[in-house]
Amino acid sequence: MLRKLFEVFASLKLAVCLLAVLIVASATGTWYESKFNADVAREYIYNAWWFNVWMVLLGVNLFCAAAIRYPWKPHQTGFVITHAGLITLLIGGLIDRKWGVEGTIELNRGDAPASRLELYDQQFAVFTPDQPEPSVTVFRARGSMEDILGSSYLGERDVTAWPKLLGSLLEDGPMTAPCPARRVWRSLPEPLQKELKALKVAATSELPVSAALRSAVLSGLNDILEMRDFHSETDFAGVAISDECKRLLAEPRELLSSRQLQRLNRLLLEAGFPDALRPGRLKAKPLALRAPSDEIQVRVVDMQAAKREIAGIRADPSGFPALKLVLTMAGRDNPFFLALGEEETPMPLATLGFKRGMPPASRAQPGPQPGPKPSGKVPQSERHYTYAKPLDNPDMVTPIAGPPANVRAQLLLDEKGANPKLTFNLQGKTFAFEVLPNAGKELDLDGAPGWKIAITGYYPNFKIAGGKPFSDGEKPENPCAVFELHGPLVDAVASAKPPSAHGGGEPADEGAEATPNGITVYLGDDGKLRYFIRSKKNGDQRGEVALGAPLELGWGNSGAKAAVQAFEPKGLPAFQWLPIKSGGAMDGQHIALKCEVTAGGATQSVWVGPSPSGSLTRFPLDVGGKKVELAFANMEVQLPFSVELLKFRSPNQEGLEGSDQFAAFESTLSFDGKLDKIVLKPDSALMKSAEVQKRAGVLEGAITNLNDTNLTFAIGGNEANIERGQVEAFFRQTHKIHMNHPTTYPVTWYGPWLGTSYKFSQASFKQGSAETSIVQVLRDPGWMPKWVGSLMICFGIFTMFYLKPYFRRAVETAKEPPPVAEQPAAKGQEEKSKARKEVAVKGT
Amino acid sequence: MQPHDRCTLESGACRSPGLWHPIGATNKHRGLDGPQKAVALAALVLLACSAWIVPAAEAPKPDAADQARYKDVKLDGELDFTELALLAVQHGGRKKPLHTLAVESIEQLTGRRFFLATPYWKDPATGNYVSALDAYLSLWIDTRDWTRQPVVLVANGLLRRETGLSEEEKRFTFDDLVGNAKFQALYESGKKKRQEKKSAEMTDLEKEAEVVADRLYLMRDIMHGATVNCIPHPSDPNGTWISPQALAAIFSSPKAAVELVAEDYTHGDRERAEKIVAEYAGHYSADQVDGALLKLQAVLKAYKHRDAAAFSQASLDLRRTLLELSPGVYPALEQLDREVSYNNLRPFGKAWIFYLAALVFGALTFKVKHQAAYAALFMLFLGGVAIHVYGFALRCLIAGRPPVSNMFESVIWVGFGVVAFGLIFELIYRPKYFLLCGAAGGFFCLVLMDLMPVVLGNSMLPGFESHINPLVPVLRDNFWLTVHVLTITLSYAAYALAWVLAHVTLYKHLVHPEAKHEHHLLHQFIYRVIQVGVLLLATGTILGGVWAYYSWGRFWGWDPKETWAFITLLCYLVVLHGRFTGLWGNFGLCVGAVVCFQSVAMAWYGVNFVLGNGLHAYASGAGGEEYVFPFLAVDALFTAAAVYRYTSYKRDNAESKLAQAVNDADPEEGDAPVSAAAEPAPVGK
Repeated sequence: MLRKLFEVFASLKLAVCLLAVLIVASATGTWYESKFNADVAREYIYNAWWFNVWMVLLGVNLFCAAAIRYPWKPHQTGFVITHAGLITLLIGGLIDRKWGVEGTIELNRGDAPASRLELYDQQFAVFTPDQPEPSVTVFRARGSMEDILGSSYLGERDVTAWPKLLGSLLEDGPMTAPCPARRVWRSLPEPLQKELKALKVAATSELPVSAALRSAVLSGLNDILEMRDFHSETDFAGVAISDECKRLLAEPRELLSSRQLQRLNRLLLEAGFPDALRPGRLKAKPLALRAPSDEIQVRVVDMQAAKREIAGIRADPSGFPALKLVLTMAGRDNPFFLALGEEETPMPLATLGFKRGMPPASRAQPGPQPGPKPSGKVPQSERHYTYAKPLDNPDMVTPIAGPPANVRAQLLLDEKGANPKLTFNLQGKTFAFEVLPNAGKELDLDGAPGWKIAITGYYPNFKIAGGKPFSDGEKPENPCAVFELHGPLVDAVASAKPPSAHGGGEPADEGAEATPNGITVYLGDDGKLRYFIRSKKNGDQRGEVALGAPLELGWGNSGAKAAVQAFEPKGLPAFQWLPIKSGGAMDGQHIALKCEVTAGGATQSVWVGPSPSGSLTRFPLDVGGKKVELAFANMEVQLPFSVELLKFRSPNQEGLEGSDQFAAFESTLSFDGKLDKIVLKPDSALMKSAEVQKRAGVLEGAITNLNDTNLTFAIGGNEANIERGQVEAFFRQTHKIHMNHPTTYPVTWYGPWLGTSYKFSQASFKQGSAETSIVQVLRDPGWMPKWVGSLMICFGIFTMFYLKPYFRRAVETAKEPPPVAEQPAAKGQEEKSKARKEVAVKGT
Repeated sequence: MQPHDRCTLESGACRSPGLWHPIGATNKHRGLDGPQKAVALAALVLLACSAWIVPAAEAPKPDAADQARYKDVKLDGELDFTELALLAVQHGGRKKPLHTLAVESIEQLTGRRFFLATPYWKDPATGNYVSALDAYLSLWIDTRDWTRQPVVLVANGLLRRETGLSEEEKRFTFDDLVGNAKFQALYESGKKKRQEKKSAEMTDLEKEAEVVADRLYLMRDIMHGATVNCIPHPSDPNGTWISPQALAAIFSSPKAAVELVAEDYTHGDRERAEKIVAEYAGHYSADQVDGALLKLQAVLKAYKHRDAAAFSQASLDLRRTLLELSPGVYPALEQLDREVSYNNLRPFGKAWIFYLAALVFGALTFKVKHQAAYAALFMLFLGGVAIHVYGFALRCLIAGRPPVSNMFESVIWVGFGVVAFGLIFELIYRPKYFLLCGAAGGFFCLVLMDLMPVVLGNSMLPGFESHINPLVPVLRDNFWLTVHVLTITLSYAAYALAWVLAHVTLYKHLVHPEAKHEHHLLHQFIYRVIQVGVLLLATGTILGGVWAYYSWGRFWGWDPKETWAFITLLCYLVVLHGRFTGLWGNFGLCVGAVVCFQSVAMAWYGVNFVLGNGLHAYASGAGGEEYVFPFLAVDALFTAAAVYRYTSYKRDNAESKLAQAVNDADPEEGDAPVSAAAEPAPVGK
């Protein structure tokens, strides 16, 4: 029995069958890649489980085929080597599949060393309250959205009946009765309408339709596909519309991607001309994601570049005072999210602001006012954004009120990038604060009477989106502390207008002269909100803010109203993802997924964008009474070392001669941060001038310029040029990569042979950025078997084809009888060998 | 590819039909405004209108009178273009002689390539034949109203019908096409789609209109002299060369020159244009520039007057003056000379004649056993190989790399591989078959590449153009990559030879089903050649993996090109293994050599032209399917007929069945001359 199985697995017929299926599967894969993209081909064919099973079967077949012939005869040398080589190669492939790493790192010059490798795969997690663990689907979403929806464009082949299409357009189009044809007719350009009308004279069953006219009509219809408001209730009133179309119509337009919009309009056109247009099919089935239970279905219906927008304010202990102000103008609500100290100008001559203090008493009487809390007096205060990275201006100051305090703060982190510490000088005294324990507190500054510090936030990876600061992940890639200094009360008017470093607020009354219309919300020391409305028409108004209550603004005649709808004393923006309207995905933009969640008989769509590096941001939904949370993130791997971009170059001239195409990109990398520290001779000029000197002989600072012979090094505002000879060790440690010239790390003698080292190669760059390099990182631990297997295959084939006679001759001369007689004949071939003998007998 | 880019990027000059007009009324020049126009005009006037060269379009004249006038001008023969041909210009990313530029341009414009050594362009006005360079110069200084001569190829019949052009004619005048509203509309709508990145939605007609529009832009550029970038960059060997017009502009009004340079050379990048202008203005003195421009004028003047002595002298002077401008950057004379002689020799066009001669001679004298006949056949074959190799070597030297960058070069290389394998096997076995099949394969490859533009009437089939273009950066200076590509394509050559041999065998089976010995011999040959192919393809594919691993760390990535190479290998492996198992015999191997070649066609041509994507996009292009697929279909029919004949003969003839069984069961025991290096019997189970 076992023997029989062994024989089956060793049979050449199985081999032929395996190979044939492999041929068909691979060919289908290339066709998939052509129709969709490489990721789809990978997902469905090359990385599919059955393909791997097939490969393993092939390996078993190869092994058995060689094993069953044991003991091997000399003339089988080539055959055995080849088969052993193929098995080795397949093993190498399996090792690579299991333990190999493939991903990219985006490196910005000046950023902290990165060690998180972004893999090509993404994971999508679906959470429900009743399940402790989310259901996770791993897939590649890098393909563009066309992969699901396909193109909705109408081509020549999509029109099945030109006479019907044109006839219906001509008959119903210019009519007044509502119908889809009328809607289409109105959307067509005028010259085309004229041309079509001219046709009508000759309109019979057979319309003379030239290719040029067809092309013009198609282009008119295709323009309609782009229209945002093509659907009209009246024109499509009595038309049967498909479910997909209904679903798309029910969604807010801004949630539709451009492809979905085209799809919607295409479906509408098909509904309007049911007999003349071929139904446009989806290119692929929506991707169904794993869900915790059968009652919940999550499907990816679209993928597209998307941007993050603020949807609201959420309470967060590290946040700022922030409010949501809704401006109602001409019947439309315009939400604004203002952080303390911010001002926006949504239209000319009207400003919205959110400031600390009290509303000014009156424009006519500037100056100090009597009373316990003179509204003209404000505490001298300013906000600092202090960065740990060596920048041109590591401490950006936004004055809030009063003259500048002339404070230059520094943010220091320990070696692991943790425990941020703020230091600054005020009134001749040095202050130092731990950031994290003191965040959110207001502390007196001992030694500087009247001064207080309020550390409002710390952002390990500071970014600004929509004017709002947030931290993109918890890794200290761009650490920034935000704090406010509050000093003694000063006259609001007396305060000189300081140069604004951060585009922040202005002293209370300054704007009043310039803008006749405006609403400013003041956050008083008592924690209450007060509003101050300036209006050309109605004059000034002020009062306390009641959340949600509309305030008459009296701007122009539009009946504009404003309402503070939400306020958080410590708030951060909450985001939502919206598809980008124009064009396809740009390099480096985030791909978001549009997910359709069906549960409890209801369906809801939401765009889910990638979570920041190293986290999983959940998007909560309430569908049909079920609570579902979705999260989407790139799969990441922590590298055992860190890599930093020292220099990025895209030389013009190395491309085609005389052309301006970029031909090559070159990144200079350093690993494990070794190059942050440059050992210099103690008597060097830089050493003497350096302000910061952590340890004798070791300097920490930033490399600001680097070329092949020297580098410029900046420490504490001083720059020094260091010649190559002085930092030879540094140049030895840098790794240059460019096209076809990768580098490996960690550097070991065996790494390149065993594939244990990571390979870094120049993959791409970021459009419009001269300082961002995208590096591909690969590690293939199966390299050694692959390499050995390859050698064996080549050698084995050669032996089999060209050296066999020599092996055989050697055997023939050595012993009798000849090997031919030894070979056992297969069943089917017995007859043939008999025949051969007969012939041989006849011949003799 | 490139022409389309130009169109979209250079759209400023192409917006309205009126601006197409090359010289015509002076205010139409290039669509520039204000000062730019003035400078451009000044440059043009300086060059062209120095009292003796008057643009011919000042007043429209009746066509008949034109014809009469031009009949008086003798265009052919008397001028010596040898010197001018060697003038170096920068074009298409490399420096080449003006001769090459002229040949390429005229070929693209008119779709005509010269056949054998005949001077190739029949002057439509006089009926005389002129050389490419002569025609180019004539266009440049517009000796006779070229915009009203039918020179622009419109190859597509459907386009001609749709735009109301004459369906009998293939070439039309510039003015007719520019004035054709329907053509304009088609082109504009296509351009719009391309600009909106919707080129996938372009109709065939729009694509054809784009091809024609590219020709119109080319003609406009030639008539402006904008393509003759003959002024060497002062210092940088990779720097941008400029045209005499641009040079004149730089020295008369640098500011406006920036606009001109930005438009013509840097895709509108002002910063780079300023840099280029500064480089030229900084390095060359006004005297040098005047000298060079005067020399150019002298050449054009002598050409206009058909003054042979002055023309030769002025051409020599011009070349020397330009060389002296920047001797470090100017290419060596021998390099230019080599390319001109390559152009004139047209080695691949001559090699196939030898192959054809060898094929015909060999077929006629196949039964002749005399040594002399064999020697003559050998000589003919070797003659073809010699020219083929010589041309190949020239091309390598000119391009500075092995020529495998596009489909044209690849086919030439495979053709070489076929004849080389044929020669080697012939030297081993001497059955005449290899010479004939090698000659047939070489002839087929070369004649296809040489005559295809003539057959298709379209020299711009992308990927198949014979122009020598620089390599894309990823392929440059890469020894192992080159070896990988050469090895793989060489394996295709082996498969191609096996394919030809298999056809001969199938033919034998079809016509002489009883010739067993012959069949057996041929089967052995096919097997031998397929062996070479399998070894080379396996090695080449693995070499690709090794190279890819060292280049970016991935051994295998399922890229379509590599996948199809893998599929091809698997196909031939199936054929070989099937023969071992007895699933099919030697005849099956023969059919397999034909059928599996379809996978070679797919890997070689189909991936780039049918699937059209992937990393190996250096040879990408489109088109030709309408010729390739019917050919493959006919081939399949032929194979089917042979298979039918074989099986029916086998069924009918019991005796032959017996003998065939012997052959099938154990090929090595036959008495073929290959028995010394033959295969073992199938290994039993």
